[in-house]
Amino acid sequence: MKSAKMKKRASRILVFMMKILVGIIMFSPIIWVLTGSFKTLTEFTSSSGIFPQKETVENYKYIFYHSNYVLYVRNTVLLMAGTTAGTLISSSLVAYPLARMEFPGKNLIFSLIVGTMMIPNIALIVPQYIMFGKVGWLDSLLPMIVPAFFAYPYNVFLFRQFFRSIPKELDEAATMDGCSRIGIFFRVLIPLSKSTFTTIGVLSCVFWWNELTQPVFYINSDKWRTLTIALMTTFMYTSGNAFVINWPSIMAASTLMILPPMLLYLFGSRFLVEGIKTSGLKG
Amino acid sequence: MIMKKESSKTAKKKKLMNHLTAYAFCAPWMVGFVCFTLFPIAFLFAVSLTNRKLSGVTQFIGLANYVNMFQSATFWNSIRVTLFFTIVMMIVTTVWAVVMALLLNYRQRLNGLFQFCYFLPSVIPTVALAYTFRTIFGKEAGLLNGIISALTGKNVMVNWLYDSRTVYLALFFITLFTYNTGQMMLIFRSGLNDVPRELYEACEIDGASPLKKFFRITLPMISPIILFNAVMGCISALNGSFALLYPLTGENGDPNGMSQVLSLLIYKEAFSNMKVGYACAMSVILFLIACCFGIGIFAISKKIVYYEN
Amino acid sequence: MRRKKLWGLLFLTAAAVGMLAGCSTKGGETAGGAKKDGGQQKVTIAVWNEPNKDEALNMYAQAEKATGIKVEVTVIPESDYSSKLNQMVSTGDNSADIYVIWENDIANFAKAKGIIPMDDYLKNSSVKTGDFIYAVSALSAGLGGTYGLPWCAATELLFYNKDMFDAAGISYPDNNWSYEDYKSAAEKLTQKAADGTTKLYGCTLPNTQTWWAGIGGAGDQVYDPSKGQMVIGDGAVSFVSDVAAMAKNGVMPEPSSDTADLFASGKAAMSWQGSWNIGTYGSSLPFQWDIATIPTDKVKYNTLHTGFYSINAKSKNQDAAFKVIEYLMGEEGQTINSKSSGNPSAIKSIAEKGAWKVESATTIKNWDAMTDSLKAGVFGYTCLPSGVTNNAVSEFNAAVLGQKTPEEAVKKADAYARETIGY
Repeated sequence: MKSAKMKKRASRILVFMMKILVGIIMFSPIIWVLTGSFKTLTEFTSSSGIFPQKETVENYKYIFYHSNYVLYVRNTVLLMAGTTAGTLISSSLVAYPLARMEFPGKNLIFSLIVGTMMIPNIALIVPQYIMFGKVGWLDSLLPMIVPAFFAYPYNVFLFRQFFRSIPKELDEAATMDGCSRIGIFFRVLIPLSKSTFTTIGVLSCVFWWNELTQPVFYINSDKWRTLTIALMTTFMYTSGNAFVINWPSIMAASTLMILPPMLLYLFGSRFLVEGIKTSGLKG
Repeated sequence: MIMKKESSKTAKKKKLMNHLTAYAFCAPWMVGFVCFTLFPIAFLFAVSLTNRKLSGVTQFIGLANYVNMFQSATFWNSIRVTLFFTIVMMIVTTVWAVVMALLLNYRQRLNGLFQFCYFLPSVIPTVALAYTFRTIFGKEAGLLNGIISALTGKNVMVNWLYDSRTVYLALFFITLFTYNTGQMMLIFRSGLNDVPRELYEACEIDGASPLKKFFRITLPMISPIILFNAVMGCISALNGSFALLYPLTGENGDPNGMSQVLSLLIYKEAFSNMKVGYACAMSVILFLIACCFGIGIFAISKKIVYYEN
Repeated sequence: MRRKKLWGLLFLTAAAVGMLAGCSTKGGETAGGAKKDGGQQKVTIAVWNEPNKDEALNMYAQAEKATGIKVEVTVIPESDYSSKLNQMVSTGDNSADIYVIWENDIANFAKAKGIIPMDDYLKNSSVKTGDFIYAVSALSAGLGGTYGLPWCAATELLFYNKDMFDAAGISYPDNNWSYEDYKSAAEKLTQKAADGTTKLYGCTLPNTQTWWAGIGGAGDQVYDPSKGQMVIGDGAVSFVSDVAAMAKNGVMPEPSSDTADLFASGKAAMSWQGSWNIGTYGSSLPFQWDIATIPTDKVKYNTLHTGFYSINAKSKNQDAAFKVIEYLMGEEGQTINSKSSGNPSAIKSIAEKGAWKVESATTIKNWDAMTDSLKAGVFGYTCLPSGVTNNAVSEFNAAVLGQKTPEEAVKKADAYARETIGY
């Protein structure tokens, strides 16, 4: 009996040690980025010590005083706000009949939505690029914001899941009260799914904050660069030599980019973590 | 009789109205589907039959792009790399996510802190992650070489991302830090919580070891979730590998094309070499690969629906 | 009530964002149309280099002062400069009025009518078009009009750390150094630790530019202007083999993910680099250094680099754009450019005055290296699409890492070039 207890205790300690080890592995890049941002380029490229020998804030000074940092933040926020607002409005609208109404072609539409979910964006980006070029939208945020107003399949899918979880009896009761189909959506479903809207909104914001692929294709000039693009252009060669990457400058810009999601996790974990949990659980 | 007819007429009218309302709600998606999915797909196939250049000069050349592509060693290498990278990334990230979820679900102190540490890397922008790991895996002053040197007392200089023996090790290690992994970890955690306690208790009475418990109860119970998320992970791997690898190993997929997934090659052909028609032919192939994965998901999700009912 | 608020808020944000996005692009367009804020004209110029932070050495700031036209600089990084410019020209983008165009793009852009011929403007201007160095005027002559004016003439040089040469007791490189001299010096300069790892490299790895200097020096033509093709063969094989051997012996570093300037950090004794690094290094290096021409193997070879100031055909204020170009091509503009970058002017009479002898680079004695290099300089790899040359360098790197033989690497690079350029 005693040995069993000991064994249990030993295994608890073992698990705890493993947790610490995994924690160190997972968190080390963030430490490396943070301390690297205070190093000079020479130190960064010649020593592998974690902590800087001589701290410098030059990297941050460059970002705030010599680059268009405010512009990049504005572009990123604009992109996030535009796509999120667009997808919340359009996706919830589309999800409503799919979750609550019966009409011919419903199954076809739903299968098509699930089907398009499976197409990776990168496969269609070249024709889309040509298309947006013809309309004159290249080098702006429009190729990313406008499609958001026409419902992202994945978000439609999520909204549908949430709407389905709301009891149908509420609809019936509302119909008795003389509510129309449209009325049910605005007066019954939306008030009940505020948390859903926040969840999908937060996830969308996180996605667009981190998105690199589409801006790489669509944005050319400085005036529409997002933070992710700026990281691999503006902050990369700040040493003046076009072949020497200024690593500490990238680390400083990265640190600044990690901060908002980190704060979101610390103060809005309800939306971020719970949102992710509910978003992917069910097929 | 007349009354009945009348009411059925109004019922019909009402039904029609209802249908129209439903279609009206669906309209944004329909427009979007036609403009941003259906038309690009048709256009993609059309452009892949031309020698369109980035400047817009176009001429119909039939299947020449496909003929050239199937003769190109670069293309076949890229297909191999894409399939390999996608599938291995799926396995590695899923296993790691399960491990982290299991660790976190073992009730102990400081779990909140651990979850913070485990999850935070996944919300680092992929570009930042790529540059961070380029320096961590650096040869001269990389963190990893520094740590190994300190532990072994020797001056270790492994060229992690450029040595053909270590490059995949390094790349798949980096995928453990992507958004996908963190997302899966959280999902598996709540999946694990949903496993009924009674099952474990019954098993404990039988005196089963923790390992046995895992394989007998936990894994079968959460396997549908794992399976579904893993295959969804494949799609996001096809899509997301560009954002990770473009800043990490460049459009040529260094070293020696070992990390040149199809999306990188498409970008290179379209924008560095201005061969848009050729790039479209490659996109068609990527599209078809994605379709194969999609059919796989459908097959699996049918099973899951069955399971849920 | 609250529902309404929520929806109102949502629509409001949507509308606001839509307006902002729409207006901003529209704003950009109208600004592109008139480019007048408060009566002042504005010209945007696309380049790949950050402008000099010292205002006296920032030619764009000076151009603004001299012409009264507001000059805005859009920096697009070198790694995808050509690609982004091609995209802008193909879509008829008018966000930049002046492009600084690379050698490989100017002919295509002229053909696609993305840029305008400047001959009419030049008739009544002070730009000394008759005085360009030969290679530049030869390139321009093939276009059937003056589509671009060369912003400078840059070249490639051997940079070396004098202190390390002194320590090793080796005499400094001069402009007659042979390739063999260079190789033996590199070997002697290398210092290794007890466990065989290198502490001090003899020379840095060639970068994407200087690979071609070595290959040309080993006897390959590199670029055939009559066919527009890449021509590499035996010369490339021998140079790649040499580099691979040197990397294997620890004389040169291997390609690695955390690229760093080992010469500047004092970990390599020599480095083949572009002449513009004279301006970058200036007085910032903590050791004595000097320059020499690229060592001569079979022939004396280095690549001539320039960029051409051109006017976007879609630009709505081409007159103002030309005024700015006129200033930048004039004596004052060219002098400032030379002083800040270390690149001589492509106009012979201005170059002769020697403004390119960067004042802060006090340790340089051998300024003749620059003039000698320019004399030997030819347009080479810069006339090829960047996808092709980058691909070739990636192949060479694979050979250096021992992942394939130099012969295979050169063959594959050549095959890829044929496949791509013939498209």
